[in-house]
Amino acid sequence: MASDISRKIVRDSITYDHIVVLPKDISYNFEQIQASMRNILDIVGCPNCHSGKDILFKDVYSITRDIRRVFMNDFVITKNLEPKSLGDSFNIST
Amino acid sequence: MNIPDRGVGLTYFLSLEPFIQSNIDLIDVIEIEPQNFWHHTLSDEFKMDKEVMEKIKNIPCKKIIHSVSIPIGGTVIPDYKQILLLNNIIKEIESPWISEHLSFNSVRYNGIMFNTGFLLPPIQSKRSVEYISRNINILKDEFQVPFAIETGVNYLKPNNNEVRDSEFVRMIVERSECGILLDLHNIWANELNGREKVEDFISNIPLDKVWEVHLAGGTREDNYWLDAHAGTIPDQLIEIAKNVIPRLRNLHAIIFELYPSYATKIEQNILREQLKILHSLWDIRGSDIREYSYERGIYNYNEPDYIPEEWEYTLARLVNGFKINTLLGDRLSSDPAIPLYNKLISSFRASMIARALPLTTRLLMLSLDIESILSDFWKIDMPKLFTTDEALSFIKYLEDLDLKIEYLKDILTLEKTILLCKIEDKNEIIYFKYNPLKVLESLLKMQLPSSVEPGIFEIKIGENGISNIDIADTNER
Repeated sequence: MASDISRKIVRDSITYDHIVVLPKDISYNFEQIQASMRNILDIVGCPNCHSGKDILFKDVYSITRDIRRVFMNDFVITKNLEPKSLGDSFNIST
Repeated sequence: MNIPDRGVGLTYFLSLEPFIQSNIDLIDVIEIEPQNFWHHTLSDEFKMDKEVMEKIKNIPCKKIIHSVSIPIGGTVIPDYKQILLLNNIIKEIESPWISEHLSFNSVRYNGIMFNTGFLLPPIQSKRSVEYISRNINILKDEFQVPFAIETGVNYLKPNNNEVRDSEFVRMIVERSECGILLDLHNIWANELNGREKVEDFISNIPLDKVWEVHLAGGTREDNYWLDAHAGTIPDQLIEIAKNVIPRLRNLHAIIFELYPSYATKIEQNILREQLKILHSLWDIRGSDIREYSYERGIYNYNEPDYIPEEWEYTLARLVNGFKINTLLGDRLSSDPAIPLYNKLISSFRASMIARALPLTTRLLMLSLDIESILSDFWKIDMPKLFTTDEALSFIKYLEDLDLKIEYLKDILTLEKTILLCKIEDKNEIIYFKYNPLKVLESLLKMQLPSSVEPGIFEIKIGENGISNIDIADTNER
């Protein structure tokens, strides 16, 4: 089992992508899991540069519900809030 | 004062880096908010993320620093540890000036210090000017480069016991001899929300002290126009900028502000158009050669009968959902901006947690009413300034709650370890009695994990957090 899991360290810069969705048929794609969580670099510090609303939590919350609804149809919601068919071309950072 | 021009640019975030790199022809300067990338260690030290610093240094344009965690608008003295680190960063990226907010974000009351969760407006009084001037003088003495204050946003109703917004800024600048970062979106939002008109504000401040201009987009919420850095610059604000910027003869930069939560929602070509607009504004800077004068001196008003410390404590507690049974508490409680601030702070805190704890957040979202959990957490814990502190505090709260949610304990351990390795620059190994990848994968798909493969598994977490994660099935050794 362990030999199937890449040890490669992901160093590529990824787009800030808080609405990360993995394709349904991916199994143990370790690089993608790593990449999905790389956004931590953007956030370790103090975020209070503006006096508005930070919508990240609400986005994740609504997407969670949408994902649960549409997954039955092999669709996911992209970060642009559009349903997208799951397939080989689906990229978590798009 | 000889300050070099830096031109047109935007606020730097990692998520904007691809855009910055591919549109560098329109970007003279990027504005760095260093604290976005700071680690606050368990021993109360601050460290800049080295990886991010290298990225910033490699971007082929000029840089300026806009500080966001030691605002000068309060009675609390700016933190020397942060000043020290800011000075190092100023030197490293050669920022010709530094700016901070005319707001407060921390309160000391009866010997206890707490964070407000938001940049809040100071009481606009003579006594307050004394404190603010002291803070500015400290920063002017400590920083190696000139210092400017940013004009703030204020959602509270105007108060007859305070000087007007413009007079407050003018009193501070005249007394402290600092520069002004004129945030046109802030003062426009203030006008839309019932405070001083932009035209009056501009006519009453020393425009020759304006070194930098901020422009941004906003959002509407509960009949307020919010300074949310939420998208493109509204046309009306561009028209205002066209009238104001020609009067700014010492302007050295125009910066477009965009917050990461909204950045992914804007198409790149639209963002590029915003930069072109900024360039057209830059080209008309200082072109109005008419002489303008503004009134100088101290203005007649009734000094409020409460001191700045009481104002800060009362406002900070009210906006975080606590009641204050004093005259000032009663008066401020009736201001409709109080529930607005409370809502905005909740959105910030929840988003900090969702960023730092993506797996925990999703598991809770899929398992129970996460909003009620967060709401209870807000009632017992004041906000933290740094994302990691807020996240670690929430983890402790959840550990004490001991919720019976499958995998939660392990996910909390994983994310806590990732955060600690990140902020403490250390390595850790944590063990699982099942293959955790299936659980991680399910949560990233926003699904509850179903079956897992039993065994003894370990995850190695490096000092760069999840980017150095390694996993092995120890049964195969």
